[in-house]
Amino acid sequence: MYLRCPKIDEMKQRLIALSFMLCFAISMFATVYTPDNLPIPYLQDERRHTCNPDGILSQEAVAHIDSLLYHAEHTYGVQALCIVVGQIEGEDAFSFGMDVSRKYGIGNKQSTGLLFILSTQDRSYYILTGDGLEGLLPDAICKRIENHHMLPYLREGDWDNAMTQAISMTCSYLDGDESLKYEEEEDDELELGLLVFFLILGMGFAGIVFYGIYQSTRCPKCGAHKLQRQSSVLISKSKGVRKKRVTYICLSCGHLVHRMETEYDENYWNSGGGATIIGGGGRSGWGGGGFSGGHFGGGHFSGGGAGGRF
Amino acid sequence: MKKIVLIVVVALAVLGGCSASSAYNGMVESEEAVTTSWSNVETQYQRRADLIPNLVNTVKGYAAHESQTLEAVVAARSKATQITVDPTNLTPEKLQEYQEAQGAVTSALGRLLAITENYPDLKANEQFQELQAQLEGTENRIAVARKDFNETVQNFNLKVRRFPGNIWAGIFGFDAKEKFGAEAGAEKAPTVSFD
Repeated sequence: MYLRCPKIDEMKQRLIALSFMLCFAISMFATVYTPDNLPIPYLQDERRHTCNPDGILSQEAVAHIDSLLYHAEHTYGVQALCIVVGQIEGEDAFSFGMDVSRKYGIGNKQSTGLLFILSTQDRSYYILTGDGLEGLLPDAICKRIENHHMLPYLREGDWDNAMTQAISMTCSYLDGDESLKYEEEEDDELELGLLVFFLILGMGFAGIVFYGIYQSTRCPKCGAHKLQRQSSVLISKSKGVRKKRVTYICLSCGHLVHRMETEYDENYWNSGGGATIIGGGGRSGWGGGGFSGGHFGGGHFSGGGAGGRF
Repeated sequence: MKKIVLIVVVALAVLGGCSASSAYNGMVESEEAVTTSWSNVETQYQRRADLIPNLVNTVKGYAAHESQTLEAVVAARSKATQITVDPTNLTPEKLQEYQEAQGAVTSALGRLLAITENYPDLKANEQFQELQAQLEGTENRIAVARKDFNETVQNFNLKVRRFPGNIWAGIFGFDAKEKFGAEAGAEKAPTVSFD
């Protein structure tokens, strides 16, 4: 016969009480996220589209979502973020998402930004579409995605599946649209800017050269640009450098001008030293691990999308 | 001595002119922002008005004998769509009238959605669910547009009321504009009964 020991019972009770207190303490210290204190890993690394500061999603789910949303951005120009946190300020995923979108300007100039927000303790979720996506992803479609592919998992507390299913369904809607295509506008602008810069630089340089030539034909006595080379006398020659005394005559007044000129042999610059510059060797940032931080293009949200509570 | 006085006077006149033109341009710019955000508000309300016939037809198929509620929605909608506000002449009375008319639509729609709770078949209807999602999304858009409008009006009012802008505003005839207030009835706490 098993006899219950009162001491063990007491210990059990204490343990239970302690664990409750611990849970309470953890929930007290869990961060309530605001648009200002929400960390955005995308800004450090453009491959990381998931904000999962509380570690609610598993690493596999985060990797899956990141690859889906990276593909969406680089194929369709849809800049998307997936935000999964425990608690948000205001307990409303919609207003939180709007504040985040307005703070960072998620999306490019066509406003094809997209936000998936889930706050597990507030039991609130929302798919928020930028102005440019409202035609492709109307509220009804967002609602349908949520009702069929998100809600069943949310009710079971299966956050991983809820988010990955909803996001992959949304991406399949993007696949069907021809109007979306990836355009690196900023890069185009940069290229145009560089072109203009070099054009101006080249024109300036050509202008200086022509001005130099023009000035060298000016007669110092009468001021007419009529100097013509008459004769030249070699004075010295060493290591490919030749010094000459050149005589010019002005065709207008007959004044003689003597100038010292230095000429270089064609192979002068390549001789000696042998310091040849070999290009290449440097790796661009697209190599492994060299990804740069992403930046948001100032997209606009007017409150499209759908969401709810579970 | 006369020359110095002349120079000072000319410099002051130039400075005054610069200040006036920059103040004027700033006010015109923010008045344009107000106009744009107002048209945004109207667009979103119009969007809601466009959804109503569809919603009413869908509900009618399942809850034909709730005709009173349905008619109230249609009546409120037609009354609200008749009121148009000129954004360059946003008088407090006009804005109040507009807000009341739209508020009537909001409450009529609220009553309609409340009665749909009694019809499980309707609630299960995919089309109805999607219409409801569009309606919710539109209400959200209206809220955002109203907030944006109030912000642009506040920005404009600050330019018009602050010194020295208020002097130029008086000369050029810019008046402070009215903002959206809280929805009528929002100040009353809802009553909950379990009868």
